[in-house]
Amino acid sequence: MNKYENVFIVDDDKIYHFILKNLFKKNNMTIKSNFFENGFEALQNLEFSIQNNNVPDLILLDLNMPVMDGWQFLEEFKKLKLIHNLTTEIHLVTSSNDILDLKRAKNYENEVTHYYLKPISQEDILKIFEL
Amino acid sequence: MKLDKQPNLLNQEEKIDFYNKLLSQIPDLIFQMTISSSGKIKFPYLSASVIEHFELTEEEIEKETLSIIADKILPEDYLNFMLSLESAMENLHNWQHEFRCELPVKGIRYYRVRATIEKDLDEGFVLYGRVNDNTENRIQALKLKISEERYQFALQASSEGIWDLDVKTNRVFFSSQSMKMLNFEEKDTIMSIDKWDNRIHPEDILKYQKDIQLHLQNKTPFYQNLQRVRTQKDDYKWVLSRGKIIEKDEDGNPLRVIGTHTDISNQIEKEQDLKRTLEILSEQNKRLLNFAHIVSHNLRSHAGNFKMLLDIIETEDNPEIIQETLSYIRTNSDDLNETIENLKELVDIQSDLKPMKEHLNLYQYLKRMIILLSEEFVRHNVDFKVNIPEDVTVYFNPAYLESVLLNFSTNAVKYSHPKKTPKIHYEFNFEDGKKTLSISDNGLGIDLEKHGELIFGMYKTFHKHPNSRGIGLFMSKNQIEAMGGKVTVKSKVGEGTSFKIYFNE
Repeated sequence: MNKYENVFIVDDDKIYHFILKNLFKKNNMTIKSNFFENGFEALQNLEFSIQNNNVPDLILLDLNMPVMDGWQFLEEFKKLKLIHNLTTEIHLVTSSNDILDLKRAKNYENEVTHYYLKPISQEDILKIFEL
Repeated sequence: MKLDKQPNLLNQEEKIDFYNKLLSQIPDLIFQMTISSSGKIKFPYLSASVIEHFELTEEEIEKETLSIIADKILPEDYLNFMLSLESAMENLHNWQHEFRCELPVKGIRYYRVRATIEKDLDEGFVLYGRVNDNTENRIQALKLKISEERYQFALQASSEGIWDLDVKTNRVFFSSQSMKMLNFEEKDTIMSIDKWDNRIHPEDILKYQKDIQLHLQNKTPFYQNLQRVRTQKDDYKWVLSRGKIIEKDEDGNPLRVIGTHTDISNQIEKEQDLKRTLEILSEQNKRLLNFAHIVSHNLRSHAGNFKMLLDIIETEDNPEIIQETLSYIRTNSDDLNETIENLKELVDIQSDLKPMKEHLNLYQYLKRMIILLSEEFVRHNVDFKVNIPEDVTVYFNPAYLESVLLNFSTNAVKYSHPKKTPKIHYEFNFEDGKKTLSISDNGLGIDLEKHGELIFGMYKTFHKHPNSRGIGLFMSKNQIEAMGGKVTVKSKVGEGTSFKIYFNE
């Protein structure tokens, strides 16, 4: 039993998508995963999933993305979480080790539960899903 | 007061006694001198103080008076002494003369002689007079003269000016240095205070009036004000004016204020230079830090990808997946190359100390950029408006101008609002005499309160989108600043963003 069953992965790096998919498969993780390249795509799908009562329980979120970055997504997510009482957790997965970003992530204590620095390893994945 | 006539009532002897007593109290040497028609000089009367005055020895007292005089007077003063005596006798006016004597103990002393001259019955002369030691007065006068000269020299040699205000008449003495400070003739001048005050910079006048009033009202121990004063050449100098009330009337109202003017323009200019240098340095430092972040951030994500992809190849059996992984390694490698190219470009902007500048027609450059983007504009249905006079030029590096215009325009399209027709407005203006170009859109906008500081400084990604906002704005800002300009941003989430470029002309 995975800790999370339904996961959104939001990152503009397609290689990262490929690597994660591969890790899921290799570890025989039967989770439902949706991959998005920016915050805007993810937000639209999140709204859609709320309507369909199919809300993800985890979002792996990158910060630096075009169109709508991780911060902007977090702002929108915060509103949706309030309205719909979402229990979805967000883990930031980013290559930014900028102290300013770490500080800023603290502003989203209610939304963000973990901060991972890329590259993400197999061990990290196993830890996230508590396998 | 009633004059006492009593001495006249005394008899002859008593009178002599009375005058002797009086004379003994007078430190001056009192004398009566006769000069006969044949030129023979005698002293019928000499007060005893002569001994003390001229340090006479027992032996000298016995000598003939004239030879003693000749001995004591400095040789170079003797001729003038005699000439002045002769002239006094000829004209029968009061004799006044100053001469020096050299004495064994006291050294050189100044003496002043004053005497009335009368003719006697035998065609000779009688002089009644006194001699006093004038040395102390001479020394005082000399000291005063030296100190006066020193003061004058100090006034001229120092760069400080002196002013002396008569509060009642509002007239001021300005020393030559004060006048020179304002490029006027280097001459002490007395004039109305307005002549100076009218030259004080409008921005400094209120503070100046407040400072001087506070002191005139005895609320400050001294007056001090830093003011820009217009010189005769119509430029401004930074003058530090300081002063203090030195005379008050019985009611404590100020009568006279004396102070100094110091030209500290150089000092202030240096301070400003230093401040500018410091700003540039801290700006460069900030960029350097930023750059370090960009490098570490980007290299890290690529290096991480390589590691993970290689891990897959090593453990994977499925040849299809291996093939796919290999193609990702290729992509990752290409991206890394592009990143390094971008970094190189950044380094070039920052290390290019004097990029070539030309006068470029802004309208033509914008038009060319729009043609370049026409396909993208059509695809996004962009509605653009250009308010730039066709003859306006900006002094800029051609490649930078292209890159800056392109970057702000593609940003406006990329971050357009999904529910609105994208609008971009290019507008040229003059602001405080500087050329500006604003590029406004009605797009998503940026939350400046949250992102304000970061928007241009973005450590943000080049990532897989080399022209994504992070690097683009960072690059544009660098290019604009390298040209001596600056860029500002205004934005409201959901309403749009407006960038304004200030050209350095």
